[in-house]
Amino acid sequence: METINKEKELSGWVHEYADYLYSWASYKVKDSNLAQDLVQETFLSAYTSIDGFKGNSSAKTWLTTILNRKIIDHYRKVSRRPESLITEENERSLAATDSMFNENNRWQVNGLESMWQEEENLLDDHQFNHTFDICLKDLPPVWYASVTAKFILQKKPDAICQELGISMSNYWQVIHRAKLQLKKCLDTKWFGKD
Amino acid sequence: MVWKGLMEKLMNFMLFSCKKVTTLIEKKEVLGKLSWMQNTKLKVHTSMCDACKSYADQSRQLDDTIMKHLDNKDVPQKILQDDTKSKMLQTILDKSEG
Repeated sequence: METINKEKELSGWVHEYADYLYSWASYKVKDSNLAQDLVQETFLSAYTSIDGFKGNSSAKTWLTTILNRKIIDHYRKVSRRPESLITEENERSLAATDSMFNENNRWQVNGLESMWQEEENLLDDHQFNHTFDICLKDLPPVWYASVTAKFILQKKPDAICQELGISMSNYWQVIHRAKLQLKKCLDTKWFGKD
Repeated sequence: MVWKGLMEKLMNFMLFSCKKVTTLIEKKEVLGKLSWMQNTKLKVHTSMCDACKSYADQSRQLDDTIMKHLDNKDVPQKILQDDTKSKMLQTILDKSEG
């Protein structure tokens, strides 16, 4: 493709899809500056391999695929932090989830168990989605990455672990802690409201 | 109160603690299975412990909720300013030269 045509194509894509990609990236990573960087890198990658784009999928789909790859690369970097590095964020979350159990490591029963069962069609509730979003965003970045990687990649656990560069053991332990924190958050902010 | 504590310790000794059970629920979900011993203890504990029985359900519910929530087309729409887009475009073209 002629350079002038390539530039035109790219320009068109930026003006048409930048907002969409930025919305998507912001949703998947917490940091809006990072989201913007990822979008820029996506367009850069796309431009570099524009000759290979044969238009057999829509440009939007193609760009989204590239963006998802960039997001996963970011998750991999984030997940690969040395395990010995206990960040403040992780510590807070670990303490919070530890406190859900008593000194004999039994559940601190909060009496809200049945409420989970009673609520059906929670996801149709706009308020719930908003609350759940807050709970998700409150997870430490590494935990958040592991939880959403499953959705982005749509792959089995061993493939996900390979992508993120972490062990299976590390993966399920992180997911486990993340779910405990989500439970605690929902118990507090939605089911319990106290 | 003392008796309750003793019972809990006994249960922990024979089977797993609730805390351990919750990790095994996840381990089983991710790996697909557990060792026979772990699986048996898990089942027995859960049959005796309402809180863990509830948690097993909640864990599944959370899995569902996470997937569906992320799949929700209700992605908050954000906009980049026009000059941001122009700068972005220019940066890309600059980076692509040579």
